Amino acid sequence: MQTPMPDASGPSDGIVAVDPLADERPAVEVHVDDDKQHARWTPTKIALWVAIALVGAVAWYMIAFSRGESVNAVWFVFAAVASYLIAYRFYAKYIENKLIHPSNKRATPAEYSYDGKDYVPTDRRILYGHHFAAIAGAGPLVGPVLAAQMGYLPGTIWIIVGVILAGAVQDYLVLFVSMRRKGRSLGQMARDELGLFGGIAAFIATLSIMLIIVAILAMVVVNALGESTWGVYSVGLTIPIALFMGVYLRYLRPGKVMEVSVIGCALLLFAIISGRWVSQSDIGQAIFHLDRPTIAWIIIAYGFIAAVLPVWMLLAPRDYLSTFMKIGVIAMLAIAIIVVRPEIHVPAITRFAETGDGPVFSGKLFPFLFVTIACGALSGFHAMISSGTTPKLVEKESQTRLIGYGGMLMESFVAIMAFVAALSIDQGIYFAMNSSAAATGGTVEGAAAFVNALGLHTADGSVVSTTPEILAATAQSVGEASVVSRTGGAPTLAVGLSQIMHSLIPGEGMASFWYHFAIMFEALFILTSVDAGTRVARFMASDALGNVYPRFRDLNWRVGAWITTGLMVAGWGSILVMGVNDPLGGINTLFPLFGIANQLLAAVALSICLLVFARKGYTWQLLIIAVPMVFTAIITVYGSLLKIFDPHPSIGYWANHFLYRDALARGETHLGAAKTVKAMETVVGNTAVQGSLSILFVVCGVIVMIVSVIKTIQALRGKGIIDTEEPAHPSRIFAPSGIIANPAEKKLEKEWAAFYEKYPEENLEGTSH
Amino acid sequence: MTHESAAHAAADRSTGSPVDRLVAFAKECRRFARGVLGSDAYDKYLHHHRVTGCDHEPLSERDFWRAKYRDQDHNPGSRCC
Repeated sequence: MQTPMPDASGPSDGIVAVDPLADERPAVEVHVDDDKQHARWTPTKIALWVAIALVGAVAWYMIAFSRGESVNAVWFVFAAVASYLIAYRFYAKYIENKLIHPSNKRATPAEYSYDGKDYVPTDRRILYGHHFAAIAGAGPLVGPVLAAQMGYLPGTIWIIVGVILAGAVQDYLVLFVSMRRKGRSLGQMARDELGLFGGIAAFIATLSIMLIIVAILAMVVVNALGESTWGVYSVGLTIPIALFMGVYLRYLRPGKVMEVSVIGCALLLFAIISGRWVSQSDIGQAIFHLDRPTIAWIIIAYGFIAAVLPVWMLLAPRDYLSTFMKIGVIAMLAIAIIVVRPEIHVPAITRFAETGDGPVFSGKLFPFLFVTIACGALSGFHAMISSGTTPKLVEKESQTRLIGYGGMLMESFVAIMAFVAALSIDQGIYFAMNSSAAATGGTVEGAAAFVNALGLHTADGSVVSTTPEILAATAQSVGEASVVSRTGGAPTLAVGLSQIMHSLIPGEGMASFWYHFAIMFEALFILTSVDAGTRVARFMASDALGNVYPRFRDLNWRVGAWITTGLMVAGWGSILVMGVNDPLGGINTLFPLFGIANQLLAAVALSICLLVFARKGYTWQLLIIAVPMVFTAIITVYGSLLKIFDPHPSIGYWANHFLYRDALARGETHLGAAKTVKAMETVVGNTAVQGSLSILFVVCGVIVMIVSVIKTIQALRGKGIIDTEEPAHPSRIFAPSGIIANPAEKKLEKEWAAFYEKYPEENLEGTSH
Repeated sequence: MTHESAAHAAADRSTGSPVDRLVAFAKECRRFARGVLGSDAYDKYLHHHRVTGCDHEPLSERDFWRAKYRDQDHNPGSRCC
């Protein structure tokens, strides 16, 4: 079989249906001459890009080389935005020209499979917002917070460089590849491209990674709500609010989504405000003051019930609320950071980067920084969003750069802002909040003693220290009983955000309002992810079980749905309970597993893309995919090997496992943070599970990568070429590519407006451009 | 929103008085917010129905949303971390 040429993607190779309006229909893409005219470098354009490059260079210099007493947060924003703009304009364009080759003569699935429901050509700006709301969750808000223990520089570089060369590339490629396959999911594409064996490994990897991600996100919520009367009350109130919204939409005013979302948001604000009164009352304390294991079991029960209830009752209304909150909060965070411009006193790099014994998570900078900051730099989970829903809505092929690459840049920006918010808080408070209870003893005295003994310095050389009074006052200002050992990132970010917002809008008690506002929106995202993740996992499981007992594929079989949901909830629930009861802390031992899982999924997605483009006949251009893929493979495989084989008990799961098992065998009754025999037995069990999961992930991930590399090499030699793309259909619509239409596109848009005036039934989008 | 009013809104933005432009801008914002939230699903369905010229009556708004949520029950999509 002949190797297809990379540029053989015009409509000529597809079915050409006769267009009755061919004479009147304007062009479906800007004429090549107009395009060249637009691409020409004018002095204004050159000046603009030189200015952007200069701003970026100055900002990077301030961050990387200026060793003053502090760095202003605004430099992070400038460095990020200038880098994103340059990457989007030059690198993403380069990828488009060399590898993607979008053809605007070719119809997208939204056009050729137009059905008014799943496949609808959607205005690129709306789709951008929609896609961003689907990819951005709690991930970019949590990882950077934990990574702040290594100083500001490594995290900043990884978030910005990582997204440009890896994360955004992955999202862009997966979106395009899935779009050319009518919106096929990552799992389906893995089966199509890798064959049965690789497909099964990809399936096991995806399912188990999904469960661990749900478990650890749930743990972030548990840690944020444990012993927090205010938090439990206001987050708990979101359930009746969502139920009310569901009933309103179903029975009272169907379809009035905007209206019910505004009502829901007002109720949410009330839930946050009234939380103060509840937390100050005895009855409130008696009902809503819950310890962490209890909250974990409540979330498990919630996860099961929410996932078996119909979508309209809980999931759909919660989705509306979290979309609303997401856009609002992120805009608020950006404005606050730019207006308040907090000073950052954290050093560029701390000793934990080298020693690997940081209290927030253990392990050295390489590879653990790169797995701790997953979402925001590179997130494999996005491959599941970029395949599926979004590709069915894209109007023109050339818009994938904006939506795929540009959407991920925006998520990276959120991660930078969360990073800045975490860096802006006092270092003493940061370490008191993020060190596990095993280290601090859970008391303000213990935490102060632990932090003062760390012997850390701020950027101006003073020693990082805190006092029990400062910690107690911080807790009081945010309306919590304690801030000590509130690991998981969410409470730290909430403190950072509340301090920034409080200096913008001062007022009595406002800090505690903003703190709980931040906790609320993170919990809202995460509980939606828990519900949706359980459903997707159930769907995957019932599909697989259907091979054995076909009735599992029957979606209306309630018993089957209950069994598979129960299995999936048991899967993530057991990891959650394990983490919550972990005598060694939980987040600090489990979070690396989350990061490794997420990055392994990215490596899997990139290796599928590598194979797809190798089969399209590309050669050296594959480096665009191979470089981030190899880097991701190295950090995840190396990270996994350390987690499995490292002799240091703080890093290697098995080393810790044998340490505690031997101690028990010797008849010891306490060791390290485990003060009882029962706690020691828990550690033995937990480390065995964590160690086994590490092995499972890395084995599945490596199988997928090896299979795809072998098939890629075969493809490069011209063997085993298969084309899984849908046949090309000629396009009959037009839309601009970028977020702002250029003059040539505007001119063409006017022609189309006139055409649609005459033939309104030809306008699939239904709304004005 | 019909095609005619949409076309007018677009025209107003560039040519109309400041008030008209403000109204057009507000309409654009509303359209954007509804699109991102997914509130315009029924409008899209009706539009599809009109454009493709189906013979049967379109679903009512209530029935449409019921069917839509039922589809979501049967075909879950994931949210990101």
